[in-house]
Amino acid sequence: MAWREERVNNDVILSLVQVTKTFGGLKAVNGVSFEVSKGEIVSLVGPNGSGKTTLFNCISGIYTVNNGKILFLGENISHFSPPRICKMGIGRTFQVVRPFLRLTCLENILVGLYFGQEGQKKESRREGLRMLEFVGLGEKASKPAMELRLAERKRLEIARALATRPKLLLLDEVAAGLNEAEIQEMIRLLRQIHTQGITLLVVEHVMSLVMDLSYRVVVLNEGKKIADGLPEIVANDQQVINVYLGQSHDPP
Amino acid sequence: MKRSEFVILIFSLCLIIVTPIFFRNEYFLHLLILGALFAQLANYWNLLDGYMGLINFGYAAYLGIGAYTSALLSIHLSFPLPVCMLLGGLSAGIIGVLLTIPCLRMVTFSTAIVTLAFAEIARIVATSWTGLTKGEMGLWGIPSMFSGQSKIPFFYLAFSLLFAGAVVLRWIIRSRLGIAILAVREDEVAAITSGVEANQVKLLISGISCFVAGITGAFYAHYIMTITPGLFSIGYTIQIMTMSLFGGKGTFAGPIVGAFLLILLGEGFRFMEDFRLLIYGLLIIGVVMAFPTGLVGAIDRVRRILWLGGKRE
Amino acid sequence: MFLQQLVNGLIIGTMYSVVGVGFTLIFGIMRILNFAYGEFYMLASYGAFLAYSELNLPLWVVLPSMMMVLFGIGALTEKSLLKPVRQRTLDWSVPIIMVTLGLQIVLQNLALIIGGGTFRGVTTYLKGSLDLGWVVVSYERLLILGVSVILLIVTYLLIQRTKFGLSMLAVSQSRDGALLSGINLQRVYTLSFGLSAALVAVPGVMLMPLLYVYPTVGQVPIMKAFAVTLLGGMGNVEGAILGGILLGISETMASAYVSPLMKDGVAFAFMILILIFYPAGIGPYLQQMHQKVVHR
Repeated sequence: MAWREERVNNDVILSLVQVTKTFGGLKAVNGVSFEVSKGEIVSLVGPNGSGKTTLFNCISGIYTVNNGKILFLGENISHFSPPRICKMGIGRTFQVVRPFLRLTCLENILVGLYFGQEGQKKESRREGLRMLEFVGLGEKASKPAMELRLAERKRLEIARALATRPKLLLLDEVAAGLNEAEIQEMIRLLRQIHTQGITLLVVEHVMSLVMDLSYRVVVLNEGKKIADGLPEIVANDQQVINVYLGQSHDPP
Repeated sequence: MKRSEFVILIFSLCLIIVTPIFFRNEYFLHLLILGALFAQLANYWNLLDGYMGLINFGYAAYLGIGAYTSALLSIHLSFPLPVCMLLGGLSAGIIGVLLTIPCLRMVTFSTAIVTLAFAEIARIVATSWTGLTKGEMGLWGIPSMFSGQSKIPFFYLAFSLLFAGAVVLRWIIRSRLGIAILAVREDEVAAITSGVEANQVKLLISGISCFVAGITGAFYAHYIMTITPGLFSIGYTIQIMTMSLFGGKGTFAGPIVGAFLLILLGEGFRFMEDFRLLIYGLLIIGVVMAFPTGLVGAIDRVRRILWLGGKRE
Repeated sequence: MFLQQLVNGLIIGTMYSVVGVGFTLIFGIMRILNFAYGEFYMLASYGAFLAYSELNLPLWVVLPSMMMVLFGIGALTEKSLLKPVRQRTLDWSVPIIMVTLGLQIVLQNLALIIGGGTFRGVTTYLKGSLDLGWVVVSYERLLILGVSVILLIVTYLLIQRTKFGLSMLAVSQSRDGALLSGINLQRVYTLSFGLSAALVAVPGVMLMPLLYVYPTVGQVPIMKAFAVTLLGGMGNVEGAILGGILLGISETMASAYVSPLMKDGVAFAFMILILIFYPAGIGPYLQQMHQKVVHR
């Protein structure tokens, strides 16, 4: 079998093996490999344009990888369609929030509830309302998503992703554009989600969130992985510092 | 449904049932029948464009496909008429689905042109394949649905079809499928990553829409008893689109209102024969400029429709 | 024979390119399909007929004046009919398309009422032909070729090299970005709509001997415009140029080798076939090749 060379580790939920994605002549993602274990919170960081969102798009099936493979729970999902990947258990939010603007908040959740899982589930509106309350949007159930502020839209999107009952949640810059208080709220919410047993893979620029939450940090630069480890160690890695500060490498 | 809507429904039903009894004028009945047919077409074109967001500038082609299929089957194979009409609808539906498949990968307005091109090709085929379709002259001698000269049975059947079609449409919109349609229309990427099979939804709606157009075309064939390749021309599509827009895209009663309004208005100007189309064009420009989102209301209404019968806010 | 057809197809193809460029330009900038486009052609044709036949003005006067007249008509249409719709609703693409549809009906019927339904025309602007052995080309066709090529080059330069062209490109790529850069959207819309009409005026004048003039003659150029726009990629000018030529050649070949009746049908079928393999038209591939050549 193709993946026998990897350690068959039942704890691994997501495995990226030499994933490459090219656009025209540009390698947006260049041979990236790492693993995410069940129950972890892994942060994916890197300067703008390093390929983080592209990687997310590859994982959720919006882009097809040119090379390498993506394994979810042992299965190769590299060429699966986005709806199928969602039903298998990967949910995601977007860097620029994408709610269904002209639908109500509840209807937004219902989309995830009705379609996010394998087969027809007997889900009710009550379930949807419960999820809205979980993210603190209970009273806005019948308001169109268009009327929500940014922080609320982000929570709506998370609730919609949660409605698809994911095992792995991809969060793309959930803290962007939020003020201090909202960021603390968000960290609290993410912790709550995590305690329910959902694995989190988070793209983030806001360092407080990254350092606070992550078990591990993966750093990308220009499509390549340059670091992978515990937050404190990665934060002190010379290469990582250089990449963020733009200094040329001076040997000590 | 809301009290007011229920009242309007009952009122309209009574009006429809009672009309042929009081108005014996055959021409007036004919206009109403056309109104009912176009209302159905406008409604289902609206499903495709207003709800799903799939612009189809060649919708009339499915009218033609249904008409010709049903007519030819009844003439050459003498199948019973309901069977012919059903097959007319099915062939239109299947072709609609097949044509949508390449459109799935295209940009929105590309599909507009492709569907238009398809209608043109269909028209050219119908005109050139004289052996089968008798070309420009048209196909005549199509068996009528009902014996006798009276338009009354046609009237009741046309309105029954309209009513049935409207019921089905409403049911679709209020079902899970309806939410899927709106989700795909609002943001396809967000929809597919939430598990909605966008492509399947689009194909299904295309099939349903084109099927209804086909059945309507078949009805038309066995009512007027003569059909020409002109059925495929963009003129009919424009009419349908205008009715839908007049009434308000994405609303429910809109297209129906628009259809009857336009048919009756068109007749009202018939005495100005030469100027009729000119006025028609001016009317389109005027109404769209004054009410870009349609006469009956904006897309907001869609939300209300989804909640009808469910919990009140 | 083959070469003859190829040359004929090429020449008519360049005219199709002009037709296509005008149409695709407006789509790229305003994201609308201008259904009255064919009627602008028709107006130019009628104008040319009147000026050339009745007023006996020479061609080199008629052509530029028709271009200017149509530019004016286009700009006026945009300002008086389209602008109000844009100001009334954010989602104006489809309502504006409907307005152009209404305009098409109005113009066609005005022409019918005022001018009557008869076919008018001029036999030819230029008599005689050039005999190159394998190929015979009429001077008229050469003139058409010359005008088209010059026009296409000028338009291309206008888009790529002038400030206005840059603003058109900017708007077609990002409306918000253009606004933020201080570009006057209204002016761009009005002027490009006028430009689009001026462009289609050229085939309106030049093809009059070929297609004649009558109220519904506009149906022909609009169908070509659709086909070329789709072939070349919506909004893609270079694609439209190539697409026009491809369409011209395939049409002429089909007419010669299959059947003149199915000419239009074959062209459409060809177009749909290409779209199955290149859903976004051939334009994007042109740009990829363009980049490989220029940037390496």
